[in-house]
Amino acid sequence: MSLGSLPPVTTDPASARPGAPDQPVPSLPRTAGRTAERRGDRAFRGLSLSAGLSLLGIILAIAVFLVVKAIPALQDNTASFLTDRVWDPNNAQPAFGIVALAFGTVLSSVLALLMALPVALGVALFISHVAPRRLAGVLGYVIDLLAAVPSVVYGLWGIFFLNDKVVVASAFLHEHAGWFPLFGGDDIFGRSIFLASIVLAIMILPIIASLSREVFLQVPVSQQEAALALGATRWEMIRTAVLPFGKPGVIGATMLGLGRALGETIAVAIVLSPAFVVSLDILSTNSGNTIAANVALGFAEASSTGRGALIASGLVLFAITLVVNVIARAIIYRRREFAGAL
Amino acid sequence: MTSSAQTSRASRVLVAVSCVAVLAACGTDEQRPFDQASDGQPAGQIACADGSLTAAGSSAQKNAMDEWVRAYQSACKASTINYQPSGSGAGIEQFVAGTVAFAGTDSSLKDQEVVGATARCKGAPALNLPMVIGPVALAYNLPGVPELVLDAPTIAKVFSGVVTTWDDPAIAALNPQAKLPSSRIQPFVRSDESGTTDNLQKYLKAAAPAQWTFGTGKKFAGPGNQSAPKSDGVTQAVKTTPNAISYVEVSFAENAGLDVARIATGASAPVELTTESAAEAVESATVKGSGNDLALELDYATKDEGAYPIVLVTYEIACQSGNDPASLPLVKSFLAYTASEAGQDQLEGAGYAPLPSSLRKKVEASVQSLS
Amino acid sequence: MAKRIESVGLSAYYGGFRAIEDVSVVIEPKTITALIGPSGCGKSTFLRTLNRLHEVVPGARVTGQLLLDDEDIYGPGVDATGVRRTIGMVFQRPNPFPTMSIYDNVAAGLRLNGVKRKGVLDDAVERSLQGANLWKEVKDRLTKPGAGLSGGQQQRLCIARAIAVEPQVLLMDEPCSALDPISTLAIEDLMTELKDRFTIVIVTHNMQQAARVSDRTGFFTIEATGEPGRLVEIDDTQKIFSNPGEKRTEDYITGRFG
Ligand SMILES: Nc1ncnc2c1ncn2[C@@H]1O[C@H](COP(=O)(O)OP(=O)(O)OP(=O)(O)O)[C@@H](O)[C@H]1O
Ligand SMILES: [Mg+2]
Repeated sequence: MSLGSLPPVTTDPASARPGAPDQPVPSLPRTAGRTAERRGDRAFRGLSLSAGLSLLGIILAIAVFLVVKAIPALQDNTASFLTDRVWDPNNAQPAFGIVALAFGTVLSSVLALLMALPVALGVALFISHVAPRRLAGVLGYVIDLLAAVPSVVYGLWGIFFLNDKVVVASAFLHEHAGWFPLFGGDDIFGRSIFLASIVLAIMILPIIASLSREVFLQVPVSQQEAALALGATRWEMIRTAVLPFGKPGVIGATMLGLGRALGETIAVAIVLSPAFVVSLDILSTNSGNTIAANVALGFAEASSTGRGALIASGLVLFAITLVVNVIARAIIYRRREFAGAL
Repeated sequence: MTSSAQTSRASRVLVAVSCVAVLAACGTDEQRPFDQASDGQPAGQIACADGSLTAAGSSAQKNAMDEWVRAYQSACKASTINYQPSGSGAGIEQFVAGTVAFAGTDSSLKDQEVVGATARCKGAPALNLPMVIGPVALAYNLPGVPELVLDAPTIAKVFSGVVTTWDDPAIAALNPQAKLPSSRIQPFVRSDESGTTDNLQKYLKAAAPAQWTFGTGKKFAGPGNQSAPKSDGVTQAVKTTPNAISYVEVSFAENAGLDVARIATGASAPVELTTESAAEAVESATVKGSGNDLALELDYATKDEGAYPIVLVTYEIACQSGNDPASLPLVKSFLAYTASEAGQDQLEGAGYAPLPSSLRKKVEASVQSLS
Repeated sequence: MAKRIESVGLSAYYGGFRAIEDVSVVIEPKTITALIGPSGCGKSTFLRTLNRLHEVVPGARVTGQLLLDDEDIYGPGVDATGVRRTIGMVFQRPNPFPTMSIYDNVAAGLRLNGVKRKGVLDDAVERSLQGANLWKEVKDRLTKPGAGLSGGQQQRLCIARAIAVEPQVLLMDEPCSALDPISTLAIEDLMTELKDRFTIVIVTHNMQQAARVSDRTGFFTIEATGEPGRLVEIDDTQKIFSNPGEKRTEDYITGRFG
């Protein structure tokens, strides 16, 4: 076989550089090899391109659908969609505004994130770098399991089990730290934004923990040993080698968690006593509502205007999620030179 | 692979467990009634028709339809009936669009809906056929007070934050015997949009116009209440919250073992919620429809003896004529069954009240007239 | 500053597997000791027992004594991190912290030691980079990521990082195996300079390198796979390469083995 003497035609394009001397190349087989390769390349490129384009197409189609469905309702709206705190779109005089919903959505999700993130990182680090291997395996399995539990379960657990406890804790916080802006307000009977945030935090915790653990396990041993060889303690090693390396991944995991919190419908609908207010009194009953929960509660019995209004609110949720993701991208992009992956 | 398969299996188990534990939120197919379950008993004689039909609408009718469909299909093996509880508004829209054979709705057709419905019926009127009566209970959780009487103005005040404690003079005056605590009332309303809420608000507007100034609709309009989703949600909230009160379909209150208030209507004695007292209220309603249309004008402010005023009457909407000939026999056969005595009795188990017999016979006649 | 190392009957295990057995050796201060031997004979393992890095591998343990100027670093109550702060290490593959700038890489060890003052850090960074022969090449791009340097530069950055904390011993595990001859020479020169301040132990597969830079050379070998590695002999480099005491050493050096 004359091909036997050829340099391998695969992989490295530099090795097949044209004009390289002393390569007595019989042109026919080489060309054949290259076109075969080209064809594979082209097929792959076409496939991935169409996959990417169809994803964009789907997103675009969703956006167009939402806009088209929302416009008639927005035209019928007798209130200001962007500033009014009412939601009565099924009325003969439809009136609905997004501001209370958007505020409650962002507030509950941000609170959930603030509660979940430190714990999730702790859990992830414990599993990846502290726990004995056996325990780490069990814990990792449990976390993955929790991440797969459907949200209705969290909602039911939140209302049946957690609500009472959160009322007690809320009353305590209100009494002893009432000066703190979030802990004001009266009517501490449960079903508050605080409860919703806690439920959301518990829901997103396993997601963030599970993904972060994966990222932390990816940190090359060589870098961890570099830190240890400098005399780092385990915690110092985690701070110098593990956390910075994992940062983009953790941000990604956080965004995924935040996305789930922002879009969570049923769990929030179950635990929350919704109100169309813009309020920081998270401990109070009727302290807010979220876009997704409002859709869940209103969709079944909505008139066509009502459905249009809910879709318009969905559009706002879409926008909020988009903004959050853009911010995350920007954070990662700003430090891209220092990205962990070598 | 294996691990993800195991995970999803585990989570399915969790869901199943949670459904068993709370019988909530996972669908209420299993709602079992106060009297007796009528499991699989093909009630009475059914004049079967073959084929399949799709209907949609009121979710308040869901349990009734499930019962009926089960009984009907087990008697008539060659039939398939599919009722989608997509909500009254959506059901009527689908009816107008011609995608369903009939629609279920919590309130008779509104003027703006009649136009489209008539067009769908090729110019013939669309009939409102009262079919399912759902009494709404005022359920409360007040240890030591097993008997409670309320009237419309007091209910209005409780659900608008005017009366805030159980020993308020307004309540005390209606309950001279009861030992009312001074604790704060925790009124719960539905956080989702619901025909039950609409019904209560209609009642309050009619029977206590001076106190209930917040209007009607499927969304609760009064200020300052706590809320929970769906009938299961409010029922559970009342059950677990001392000093709570709410309004739910009677079957939920009964199943949860909640105390139910009697209503002082101006009749000689406060009216207890029973199937008879609910039927009595419907009996005293006037038919506002003409011909075979049986749309009712319910008198929420009724003072008739033994008439319980807070009842939800839901309708099936079907074309007087111009029905799809393919599904017409099945529509007639099925609705004839639901309007029959056997069909109505079938529901008693599911927390509904049967149609009073005079009205029921009119409905049967209207169903027979469909073409 | 530089310290003397003495191992007494040292064995190292990975779980149940004994990787090296009964190594007893003395390494004098301010010398360069080269460790040679066939692949898998336990050179890296031995090197990593010297700064207690061996034990970070799950299930790994060490028996025997290891004296650093008469103090047993495996003795009770001795803190491994403290040991590692006095014994620096350079790895086979350059491993700068990818998320850190050149400056931060060099300052990392000092920061771990609690040095915060910018002036002190600046001085140490410059001194270490100069010590590692890298200062001229990077002085204008100290804030750029360390991972953006060439392989040889990265390895010298790692040396700078290791010597910034002024350790008393410097361990190098095949530091030039990924480098070109010029970078290799630069690092060899560097070792000769550093020897004035540090005790250096280097693992290498390159006989010429061992012959060029080291004062003493130790030969490890392994009888068969699954057997533990043993130190065959250690002697002056001159002697090992001209007139080794053991036949096995001679075979290895002349290329008749491994
Ligand atoms: N992390 C580990 N876990 C288990 N066994 C290991 C581990 N690292 C090394 N070993 C084993 O210990 C023995 C010695 O390995 P070591 O890396 O010390 O050899 P070496 O002499 O440095 O080889 P090379 O010249 O190829 O680097 C080998 O049999 C190796 O397979
Ligand atoms: Mg090695």
